[in-house]
Amino acid sequence: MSTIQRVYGAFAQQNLIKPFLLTLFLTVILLYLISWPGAILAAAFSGFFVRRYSRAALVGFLGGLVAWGILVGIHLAFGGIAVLDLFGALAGLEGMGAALAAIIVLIGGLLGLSGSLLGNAIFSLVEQYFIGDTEATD
Amino acid sequence: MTSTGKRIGKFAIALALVVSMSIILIVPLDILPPLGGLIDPFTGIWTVYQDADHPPFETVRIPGLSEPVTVVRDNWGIPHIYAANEPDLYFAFGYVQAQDRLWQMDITRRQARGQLAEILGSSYISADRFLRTLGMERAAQQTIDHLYSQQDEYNTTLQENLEAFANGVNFYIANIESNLPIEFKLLNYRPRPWTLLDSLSVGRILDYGLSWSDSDLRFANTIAELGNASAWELFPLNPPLQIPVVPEYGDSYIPPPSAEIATNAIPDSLQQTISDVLSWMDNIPDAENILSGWQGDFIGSNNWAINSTKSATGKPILCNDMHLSRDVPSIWYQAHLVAADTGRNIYGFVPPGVPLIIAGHTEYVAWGFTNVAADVIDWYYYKINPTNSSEYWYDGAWHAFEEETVPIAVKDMPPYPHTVRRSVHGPIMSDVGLTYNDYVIAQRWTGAEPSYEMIALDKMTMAHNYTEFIEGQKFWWTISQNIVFADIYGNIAIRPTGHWPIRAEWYGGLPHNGSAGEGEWIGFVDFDELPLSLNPDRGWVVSANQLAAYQGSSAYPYYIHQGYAPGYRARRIIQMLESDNSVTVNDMKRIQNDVLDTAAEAFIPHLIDAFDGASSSITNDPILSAVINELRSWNYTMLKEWVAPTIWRAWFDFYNEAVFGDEYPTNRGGLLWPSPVILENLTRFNPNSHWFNDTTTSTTETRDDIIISSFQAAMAKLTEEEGIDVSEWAWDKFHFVVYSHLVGDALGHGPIPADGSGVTVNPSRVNLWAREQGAARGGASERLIVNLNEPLHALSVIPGGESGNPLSRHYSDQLFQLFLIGDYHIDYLYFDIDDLLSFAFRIESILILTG
Repeated sequence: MSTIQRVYGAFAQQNLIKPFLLTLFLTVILLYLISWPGAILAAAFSGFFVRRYSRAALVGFLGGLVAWGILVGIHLAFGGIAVLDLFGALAGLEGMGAALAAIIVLIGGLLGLSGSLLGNAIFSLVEQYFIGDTEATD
Repeated sequence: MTSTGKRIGKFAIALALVVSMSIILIVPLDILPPLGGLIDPFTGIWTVYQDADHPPFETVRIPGLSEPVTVVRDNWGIPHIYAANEPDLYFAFGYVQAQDRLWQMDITRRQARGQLAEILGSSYISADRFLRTLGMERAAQQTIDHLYSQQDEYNTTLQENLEAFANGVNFYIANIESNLPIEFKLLNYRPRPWTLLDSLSVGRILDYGLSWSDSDLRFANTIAELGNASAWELFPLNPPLQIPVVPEYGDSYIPPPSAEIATNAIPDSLQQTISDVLSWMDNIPDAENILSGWQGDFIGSNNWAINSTKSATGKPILCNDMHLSRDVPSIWYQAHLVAADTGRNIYGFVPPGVPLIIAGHTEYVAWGFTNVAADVIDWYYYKINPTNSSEYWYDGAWHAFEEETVPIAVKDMPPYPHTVRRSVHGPIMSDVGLTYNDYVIAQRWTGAEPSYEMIALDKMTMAHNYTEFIEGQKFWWTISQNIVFADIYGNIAIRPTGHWPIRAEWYGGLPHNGSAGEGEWIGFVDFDELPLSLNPDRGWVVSANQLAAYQGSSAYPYYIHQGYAPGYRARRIIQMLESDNSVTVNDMKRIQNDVLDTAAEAFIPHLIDAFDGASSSITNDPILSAVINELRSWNYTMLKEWVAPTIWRAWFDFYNEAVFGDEYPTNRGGLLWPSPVILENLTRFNPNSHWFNDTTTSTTETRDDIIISSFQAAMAKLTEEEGIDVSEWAWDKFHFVVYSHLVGDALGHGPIPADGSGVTVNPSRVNLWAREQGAARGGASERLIVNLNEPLHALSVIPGGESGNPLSRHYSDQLFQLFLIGDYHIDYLYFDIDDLLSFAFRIESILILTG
């Protein structure tokens, strides 16, 4: 078993907690460092380590959703809802600040989902050349 | 499908999802920024609430500051800036203005310099072309060049102070990182560095609003439409029923010299050019949104002062409320500036971006402004060389236009090459949007020439008495203003002030044949020749944009202006001041917020008389008689809960139209409409005037016929819209004020039902039948009351707040907690910071700027 296979094997397991936490952590870090594309990159990286496509989707979506949820929640706790109410009113959506917050968090989840699927798909394409065929698809 | 095929398919799906999400978050929608940047949890719109209010205590290190500066913000967020010297003071002033109003500063300089398309897109190219052709930026640059060429000690010091202001703004911009005001985020751009040229240009856009005018062209159109005699009858130079700003040159009606003014025949092809130019300027794409805040029918102001013979305080009291666009953020920023080295100690109002307080007070003096509407602009037409359109005829020869091409930056597009052609008099305004072969039209405007308001303001704000004050006032050239003054020694004065052109032909209210050398400016009225009321025996001086002085008389030979306010506000202010010889500060509050309509006072008795003399079919009409009963018991106060104001205003609209409308064409674009005071004069003193005859009928109507028919029509309209229950016709269903923001209604306030009318002391002019959509956009943009017996505790208010951040508690605190209920805050003018800090309960935050 190669080194790559051993590293992959350590992460690529049925337990989704570790990839989820990895997605969550990396999303927050990369959002801070490189703005919203960081959310895709973070999830893509996590997507490498989930065997199944559908599970990668779940991990990416939940990781992104929770990461954005935490960050948006912090803003809301300190008065950020007023910003969203204002922004909504400018867009003709008066009093829809809470709904906008939910949409932003959902966008975070979708960014995670798209990133993790991409990571998973890339990995599954290249794995046969570097790791050998695995069960990284469903 | 093979395993590899499946994998490729999944990759394709994932890639499509990533690309789709990225497109959603990257691609901007129209002028709006990409969504991704807005919602970013670290750098997006969230910073708006984080920066809403200043921290209670903050220290900022600023390399180059010579001494620490303390900025104390009071409970209205107003900065009290204490510096050891003037350069540090102005640096800090720039810094705090940028903290509170950076976007407003940026958009204002862009308006003045014609740089809107760069951030708002190609639809603003026309507005930019118009603004650049006016030449405000050019004039500001010429002023700077002149200032820099005078390297004496005074000018050098002033330059240093003005540059320090720009440095303060730039230090803030350089360190703001992602915490930009919301407007920058919504429009997706960053501010470029601030320059002295920006500051002077901001002053110029104020001038555009207050002194630029195309009424010469409109008057030419009106003469062409109505005929010479009728036009002069409706638009005399000295209208009746006026109490001039300076009554010393005649305080009763003087026949106008207009009959002696030869009105040159304007060639037909030029007439069409004039109409087209006016039509183009009236319909500049997107200009309504971005420029109407500067040029509107709400432009006006009140100021007055009383001396100790009328004041209950034993010293003069000075009041000022300037009527401008009531946008949010407020057009004014309030500040208290203290410099220990020079003893400067001033509190007042400044448009964000301007380094010097414009209107305000010190420990010794107070002053304020109203617009003169002096005629400081002329329009010239020239014959174009038929064989060479780059030449015009002037002074007996063909001359080449001076041409300058400058690129206009356009958002997401290549720059637009804009060419300005200039004649000997000024820019060719007909070039903007139009091409003509026969004639071109140029303007000469003092606002496009160098001027020295910065010197004026610097000196005025350092004055200790009237003598020192006028040494600064002499430099007040471009924005002609009635400058009211009072000091602690008991002096009061008012002087319409500005650089007023003297024309070879005296009059300047019509386009001149530039090719024939007409309308040349042969000089300017000397400062000492400007009208002046100084310590008059009557005990008061008052201006409300009315006639400055009876012009053209032996007492005052100069031509000043033709278009100005009808005088109803001045009439009311004088009425109240004359009726009281012990005026208090509270009385002054009441006067500034007064909403008695003196036009209604003049007209309504004639309506009631006409009704009482009408046929029984009219007097027995239940609705009409109910309406008249409302008017009989009315005291002419335009309170929003009352019905009578609605009746008065609806009837006046119909009456005004019925008297003059039949002489006007259906399309009135490009024409002037008579002032209400002309109609008042006809109504009161000439009931058989030909103007009352309806030219569309075969009978001959008189005043009372028109009063009754217009009354019936107006009430029918109200009945149709509001029903037959007259008690339901309250003014608050028709009369609204709005406080708008350029970026969107959600950042503004209103429409809010309000008291008042277009001619009350507390004014708000509405389009009655448009209701909320016709809400007043302008009115008092500030209020100031200075009791010179207690100059450290003057009163003031703005209809907004100090902060430009819509989430700040100071975005609109003054509007809702003070302005709308007629209240004020105290301007604490302590030279010693310890005195200010002793009012610790009023202190909200302290900012230390240290080197």
